Amino acid sequence: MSLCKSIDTLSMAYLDDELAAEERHELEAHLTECATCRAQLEQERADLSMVRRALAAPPTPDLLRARVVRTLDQEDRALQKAQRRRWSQYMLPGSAMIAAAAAIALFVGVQSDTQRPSASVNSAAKVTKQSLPLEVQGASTVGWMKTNFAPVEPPQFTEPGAKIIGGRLLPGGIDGRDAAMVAYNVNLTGRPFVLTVLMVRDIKDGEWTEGQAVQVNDRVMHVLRADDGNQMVSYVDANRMGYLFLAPDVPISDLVRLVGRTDLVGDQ
Amino acid sequence: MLAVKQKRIEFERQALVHLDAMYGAAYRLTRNPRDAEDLVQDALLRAYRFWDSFQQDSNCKAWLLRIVTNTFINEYQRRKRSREVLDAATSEQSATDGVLVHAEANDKQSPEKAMLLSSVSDDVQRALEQLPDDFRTAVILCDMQGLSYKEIAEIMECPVGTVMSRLFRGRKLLAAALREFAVAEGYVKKSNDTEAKAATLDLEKYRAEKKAREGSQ
Repeated sequence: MSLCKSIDTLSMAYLDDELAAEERHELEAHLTECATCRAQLEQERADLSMVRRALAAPPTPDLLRARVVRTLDQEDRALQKAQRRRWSQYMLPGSAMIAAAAAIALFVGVQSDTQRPSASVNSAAKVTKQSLPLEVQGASTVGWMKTNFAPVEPPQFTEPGAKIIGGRLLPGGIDGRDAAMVAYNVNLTGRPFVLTVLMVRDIKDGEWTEGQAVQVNDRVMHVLRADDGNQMVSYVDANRMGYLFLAPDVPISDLVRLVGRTDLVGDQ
Repeated sequence: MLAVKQKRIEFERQALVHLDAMYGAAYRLTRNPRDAEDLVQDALLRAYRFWDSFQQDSNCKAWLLRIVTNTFINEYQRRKRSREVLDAATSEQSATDGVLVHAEANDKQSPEKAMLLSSVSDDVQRALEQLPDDFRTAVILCDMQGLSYKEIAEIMECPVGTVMSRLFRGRKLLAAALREFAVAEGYVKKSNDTEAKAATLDLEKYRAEKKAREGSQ
């Protein structure tokens, strides 16, 4: 009977309740007439029930529940504080362009000139000034980055006019953390320029937020100023992957708008 | 202000009810109660920050477990990388000293390993320790959390067939290790029958082949 050949697959899917009704009936019919397959299924059922029993975890500690509630309270307070400060919010110039890109940027924080950028921001600014050779160029960049750097793709633009030139890994990373760089050729306004995006892993809490908070769609980004005067836009995702956008040739408000046109802030 | 309150209420109603599931998964992934608590707290805060991106009609538990798994993988990979660098430096040092340190002996002495052994008295945790990461994750998500093959495939970013193979081999290894622990409390020697055969399991493939056979009849 042909089912014997696939008994590993079938018995497992059967025990995990992944078979369609018809497949289940076929297997059950087969089991009544094949002792070998029946024995195998019973062995797997026994193993499975042992594994499932063994995996039961101890109860969640009450202290953890309390800790979680406290963390969420803190988060709520920080958010409410940010909302109260929105007296300073205003829309960036060029609202027609923003509407076209369906991205609305709001400054939600107050620029603090006294706050110094993290060391990693300065290191990043320095790296982009070196002319390091690209390790990959053109259309294969995205795939190459996924294989060699991170499972996440480098940011891409939701409309034509911005093309990936290429990318490379950064030797030694940024402050000991893995980092990569992607360069884009951007021509949205008839004035082409180069945009550099640095991707750095393991950004810590509070890092890359020392500057003005900007809300782009539903994401909060920050406008940072490195010690060398260069301004850049930072964004840190849920997995602590940090993205730093640099385009020294364009005003910072244009750079913010540009970030609003990447898939980082688009629909999930 | 209202939006903040509303978000909190929604989050507590839909996400916080899965705290036990998250803690259970974290406990088995990290194999250490303290790390598990940190991982859950970290993952929940991320989930709260990204609550807007949760699609309301999808499985919240699977979404949360995805965040737990990803957070764990990222943290773990970082620690593992720094450990590898350290290990490489140690072996180089040992080689130049003219003393060859066996990799396994080295491993036993590492503070992390020592801490793990002292803090975990649980056979199951030790049995899990022996599984390759991918196998362990698949088994935890399926047999502990009851996620479907498809949900696990999405979390682990691999085909359903790969999930099935990992599950199959992970369960075999785990069952064998548990049996051995039961026999020889405290010490496990890897015996040949703990090696699961390199199974290729794929329900999709089975279905395709079946369809082809039926078509040719």
